[in-house]
Amino acid sequence: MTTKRIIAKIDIKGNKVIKGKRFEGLRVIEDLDEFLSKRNDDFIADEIYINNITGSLYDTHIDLDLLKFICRNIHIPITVQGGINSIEEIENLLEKGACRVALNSAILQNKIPIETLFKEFGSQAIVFSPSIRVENNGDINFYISAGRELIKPAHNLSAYDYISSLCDKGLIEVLIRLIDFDGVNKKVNDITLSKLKIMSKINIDTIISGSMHINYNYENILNYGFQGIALSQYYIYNYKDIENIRKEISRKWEVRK
Amino acid sequence: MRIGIVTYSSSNTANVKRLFEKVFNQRLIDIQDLSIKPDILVLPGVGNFKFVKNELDKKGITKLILESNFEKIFGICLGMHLLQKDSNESLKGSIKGFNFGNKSVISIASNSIQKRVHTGWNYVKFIHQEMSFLSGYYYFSHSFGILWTGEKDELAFYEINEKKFVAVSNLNNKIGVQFHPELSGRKGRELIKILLG
Repeated sequence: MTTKRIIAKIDIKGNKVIKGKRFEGLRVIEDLDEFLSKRNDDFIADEIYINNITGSLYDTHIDLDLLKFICRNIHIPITVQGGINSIEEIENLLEKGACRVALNSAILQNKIPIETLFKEFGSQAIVFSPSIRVENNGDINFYISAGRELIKPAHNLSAYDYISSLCDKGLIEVLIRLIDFDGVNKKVNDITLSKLKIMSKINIDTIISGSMHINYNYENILNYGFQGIALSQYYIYNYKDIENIRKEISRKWEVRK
Repeated sequence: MRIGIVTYSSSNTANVKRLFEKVFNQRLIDIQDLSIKPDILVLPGVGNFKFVKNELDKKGITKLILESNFEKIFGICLGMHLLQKDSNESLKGSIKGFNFGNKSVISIASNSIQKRVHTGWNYVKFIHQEMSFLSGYYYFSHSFGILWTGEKDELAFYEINEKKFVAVSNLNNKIGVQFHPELSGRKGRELIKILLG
């Protein structure tokens, strides 16, 4: 069976790597190319996930030349997200070296029907990547525009039913971003964990992002049966220690070695 | 040694080209450029077997592949499937491949797992001692595969729920790999150097 996945998540704005807390207060770290060149080692991450985090909010798009340039030295899967809203843009991103595109508002607002996405690109090329918040009353809400705008899915479906419905249409992968735990270095609270545990029953590969470098968080997530974790803050400041997380995970689960 | 590549509409060949150009330090020849005949032909693979096979038939590429005596053909994922006898990747029965191998391509879901697609890194075990250094983790993304039978051309396998499938096969220098070397990091680079170098 496939291994648990450790994904390096890189938030960008233009050609800069940035990082915020709960998707806000974005700080510039450094140029993306320079950032990647320091980490150009296969064994740090299993995959790279580049997120143009304010893409939908400001209608900005991933620079295709930049993508092509950074892909020249990357020979592991790259997923890209942010501001993607047309078939043509997806074609271009895949052509420049992305292996998958992750979509949030494009799917939730049905900018491109999911059936069309699968028909054009195959289910292996499409990831649904919602940013969510588990409210105090236990409701799971979807947000778009860099976590600023709450959106209800079609027919007012619950998060569980909505993702299940996408799965029925052919979706094979979800990357759930926990807004309240993004960049804050804290344990995921009980109510969020209990809701994620329920979501883990959906028969679909799921990756979780948001303070997932913390042992308590990834142990729980992987125990529920999720396929992997995406690390962003940790990939910026502690990337050499990702090997320690890999070692810890390998005590209980199979990981790439 | 000149390397050519087959490109078709549904396939993203950018990553494959990038890897081969880097490892072998040359620009790949498009198979449709009839002025140069490559020694090695790379058949990359994303897409639907029937759709791609029809396209290759229509463009005359199937004929070219069958009639040209390439030193080696290297099929990746769907490219590996196309080298075989047939595939059931169609609702209307089996579709014929290039028939270099004698295997049938089947849905992995019907044979081992509920999931329709096998995506991620999985362990590949080379069975012969002299190639065992290539054993390791490679990146997979596919819904169809070839069951392991232990025949001579089957060089390496991977497992899904303890069911074995063919990861690498080689019959008369028609080499097929189920995983994606172009997405398998160092291991992928090492593998293509050894298998095609």
